[in-house]
Amino acid sequence: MTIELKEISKSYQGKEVIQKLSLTFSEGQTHVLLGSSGSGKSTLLRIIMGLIFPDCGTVLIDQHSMSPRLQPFLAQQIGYVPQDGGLFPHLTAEKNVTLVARTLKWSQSRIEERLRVLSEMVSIKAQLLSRYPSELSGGQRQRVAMIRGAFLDPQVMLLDEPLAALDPIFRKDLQLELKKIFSQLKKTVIFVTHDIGEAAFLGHSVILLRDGKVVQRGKFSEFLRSPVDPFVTEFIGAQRTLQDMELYD
Amino acid sequence: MIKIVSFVKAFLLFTSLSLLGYSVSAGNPVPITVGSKAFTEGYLLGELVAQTIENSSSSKVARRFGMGGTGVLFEALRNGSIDLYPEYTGTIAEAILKDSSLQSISQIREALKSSDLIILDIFKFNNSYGLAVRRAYANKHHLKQISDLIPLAKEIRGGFSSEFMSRPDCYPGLVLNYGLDFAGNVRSMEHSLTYEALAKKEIDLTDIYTTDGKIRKLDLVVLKDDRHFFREYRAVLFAKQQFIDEHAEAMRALSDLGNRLDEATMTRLNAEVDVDKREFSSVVLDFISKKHITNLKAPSVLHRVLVRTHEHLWLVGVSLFFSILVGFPLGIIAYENRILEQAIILFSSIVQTIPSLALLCFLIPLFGIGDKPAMVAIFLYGLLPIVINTFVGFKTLDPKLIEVARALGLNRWERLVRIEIPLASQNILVGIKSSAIIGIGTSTLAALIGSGGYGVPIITGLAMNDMEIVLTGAIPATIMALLAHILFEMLSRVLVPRGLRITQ
Repeated sequence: MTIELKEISKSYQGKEVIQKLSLTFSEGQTHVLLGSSGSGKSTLLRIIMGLIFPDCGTVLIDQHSMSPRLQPFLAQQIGYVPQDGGLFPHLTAEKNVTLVARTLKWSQSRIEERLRVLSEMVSIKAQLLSRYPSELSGGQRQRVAMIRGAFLDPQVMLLDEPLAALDPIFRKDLQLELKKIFSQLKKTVIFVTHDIGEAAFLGHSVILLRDGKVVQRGKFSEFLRSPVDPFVTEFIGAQRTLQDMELYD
Repeated sequence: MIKIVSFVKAFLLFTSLSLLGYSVSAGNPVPITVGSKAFTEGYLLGELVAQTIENSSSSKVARRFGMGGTGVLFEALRNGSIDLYPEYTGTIAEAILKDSSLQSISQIREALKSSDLIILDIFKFNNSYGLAVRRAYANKHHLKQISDLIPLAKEIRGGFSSEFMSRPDCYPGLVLNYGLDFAGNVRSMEHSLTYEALAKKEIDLTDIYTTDGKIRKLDLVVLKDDRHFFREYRAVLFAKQQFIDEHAEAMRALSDLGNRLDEATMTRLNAEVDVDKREFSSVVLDFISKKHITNLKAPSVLHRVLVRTHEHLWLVGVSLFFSILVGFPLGIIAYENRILEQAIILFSSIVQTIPSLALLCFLIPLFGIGDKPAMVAIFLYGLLPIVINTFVGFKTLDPKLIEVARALGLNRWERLVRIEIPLASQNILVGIKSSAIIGIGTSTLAALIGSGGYGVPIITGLAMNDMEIVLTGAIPATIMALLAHILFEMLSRVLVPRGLRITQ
């Protein structure tokens, strides 16, 4: 399943946050959307999921044009893992992850089987699933959110800075795990981050955004070897010293 | 979804329980409905009429006593919500026909001819304005009638109620008509204080109603209105012509009794209630049983409180049910739609600002008197807290979570039912709780338009200045409000998802 953005633009109060942007996310790869805050990352993400609509241009999800009518259906084709997990506080972890499957009237056995497979994959203990989000740690919440995103077995997973709120040690572990999970799932992954190291570590291809435009797209090594623009070097350089170790090991 | 279902179930159960109880207590078909005003004489005359009808016919009588004023009673009589009530000729002329030239009973009867209403001249007393002095003072100065005051006017100390001082047919007209020159030693004061001032000899002369029980208690002399200045307020029975024709026998019995009710007797009966603190129904029973034998027995306090509790619960329960049924969706619509938001919030707020008695009066032409208009009023007052709290509950939902729900591909209905309502449930319940407690309070006013509930003893007690009676309504009402509070606290433990409770 491919996701295609064709010449989309979006303005808020006269300010263009996305400018004539075209992007195609090819199947089976991990695409990292990289950019500082205000670069248009989250706007782009919300446009892909049909939470907001571009002023012009089209969004094609598996060849369907995103529309308010199709939104619930198309959104179900994309597994979404929001920042901080975005779990519903009134539901237990289990009810959170099975929510959409239950509205789709999946059988109980199918739900249970899917839950078992995914909990194993993200290595979360079954008894934690009966807890409410407020009774879980940040890392546990993020794992639960991963299960929820992957539950319907969507072909595309969309992760919005899933690790941003975690402390560095956990984060490193989870990055490793995520890489493993992504390769297991063989899904198209769109991963949003502002962390260069994370981008380099996880992304088959990296898309650097600035002011609503794509600055450069390609393998991370290309960003180092042949930056298209001084901004690319500057952006990568800003965090590199911190992340050097991780990058090259 | 399950939560909503249990919500609805709980309320259906609640209302059906009230309904069940109500249908059991409702008596035989078409009772005769007797109304009365909310002051001692009104209650006494109403009860007298009620007991006489009960004694002389097989009809059941529904008592709608202590209703909120002439306008309410007249409207109720006209639309058939009550069959008859005691009224005064002066009030009919001034407040209903709005023609002060109508003086005699026959003039008023003539003026009513075009309507289907009639007045029956069965009582023999006039409860008008009058002037009174202490008996000792009257003896000392040989006072028998108002004109005897003329030579005394310069030295006598007068204390009059403010209403008496300002009405043209009272003090200003009186002074001119009799040529009284009080030379400024006249004070305006609260009516209830004039009696005390008179007893303490702080004043010598005051205005009274000619059948007031206090006349007897303080042993006052009412000066004869020898120039017939004061308008007559003859007590009459106000009813529909058709009703009188259909109940000739009861009317004959009433007329026999009414013949015995002259000013002195009425004053004595008023005094038995106001001064001796007797219950009006037993005062009437005593009065009647000099001729009739009846087996009427005053119900115990507990029994009365139980009956009132049942009526009150019924009023609040039904109204609350409809407040929820309408207010909850309105709150959601206000949250969904910006334009309707303004309209809905404005409407529910405006309703809240209408004084309750005024709202009740507006509703009489539409719904008559009794439970129906009372429930509509309580329902309307109950809307705002539910609408506002539902609206605020939704408005303050974490927008991120709402977005996540959309991103997961839940449609509008699923988001509402599975995410938004549960997340807003605490606020919604607070709204329902406020509505219930407001309802318990407002329901006490329902007695003013002939509905039941705790308001009946409160209004009766206030009218008769008997705190004990007031408390038999006020205390249970307070307890009911407290219980409602506790009930909703317990309900919120069941209805608010556990995950929300542990986060706080």
